[in-house]
Amino acid sequence: MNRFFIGFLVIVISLFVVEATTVAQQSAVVPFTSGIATTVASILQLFDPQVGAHETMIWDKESEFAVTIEEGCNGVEASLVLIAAITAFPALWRQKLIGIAVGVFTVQALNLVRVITLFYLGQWSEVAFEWAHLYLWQALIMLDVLIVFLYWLHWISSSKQTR
Amino acid sequence: MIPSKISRVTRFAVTVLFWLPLCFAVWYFLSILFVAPIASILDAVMTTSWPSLIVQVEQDGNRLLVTLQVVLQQSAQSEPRTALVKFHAHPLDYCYGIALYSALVLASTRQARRRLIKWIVGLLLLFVIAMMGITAQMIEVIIFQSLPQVGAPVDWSPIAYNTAAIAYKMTYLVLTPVAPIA
Repeated sequence: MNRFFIGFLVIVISLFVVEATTVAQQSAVVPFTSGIATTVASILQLFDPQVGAHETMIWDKESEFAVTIEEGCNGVEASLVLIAAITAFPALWRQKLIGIAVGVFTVQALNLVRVITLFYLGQWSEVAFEWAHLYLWQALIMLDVLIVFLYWLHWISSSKQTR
Repeated sequence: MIPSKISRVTRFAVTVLFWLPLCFAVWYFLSILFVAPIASILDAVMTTSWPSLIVQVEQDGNRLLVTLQVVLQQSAQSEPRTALVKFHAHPLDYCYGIALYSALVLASTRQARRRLIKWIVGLLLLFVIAMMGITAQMIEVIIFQSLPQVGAPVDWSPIAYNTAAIAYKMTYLVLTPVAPIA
């Protein structure tokens, strides 16, 4: 357990240091975040044609309310935590890659829900937006990381038993 | 596949989600109580570390009001004047892990006594992490968001400034959200 925890800490710190570099930000994180904004706008435009997106900003053309997706809100940090946890745990590399792929997809899917709910909450109530943005959704995203990791642990455990 | 094991995770997840709203409500309405010791400790630490800059750190509801003294001089011939600059720090930004952690402990199936001990130990660790985060936030505001005259007394090397920036990012984006689940 200690070995896993130390391995997790080393990997997560390394991933965050790499992610914080200008090269990683400009070549990967910012374009990825812009992609999230575009994806959210595309989804919302199916039933709300007033929504627009430009780079990392999403706005409502009618109310002129806008949000920008910043660090901490693009699901990258949560994905890195999950990747570090799965990588640090002893398992076959095939199992790790499947866990990372499914896990990151789950985190990003929930993050899309976060952005959409915050976008409409912000138009309804600033207090509710602040609360959901700073506290509730932060907790829910990390809870999602934990649950995905637990499901992955049970999957690899049951895979061992059936072999 | 062993269905009972998978359903245990699902049961755990649902139980956490059940407790989470109550934990958040209790956390928020009692936040004034745990901000009080944070204000006292930070007041002692920050005014001792930078006595020429930080005058006071006091509680303002569930926020902290930080008072800085800044020496301003319009020109070399004019008299220097001391101004007080105040800003709010937000300890709750680093304490929401308490609500999540409490919900996780409540959802655990361990004995009540073990859960209580684990909860208390966890709370102490989360308190320490919150203190680190709030300190990093205050330093970040003083150094990077304020006028040059405000941050001038903090005469650090470039490495120290970069460390402060990284510490702020790590405590807000990593430590605070990861600590409850770790």
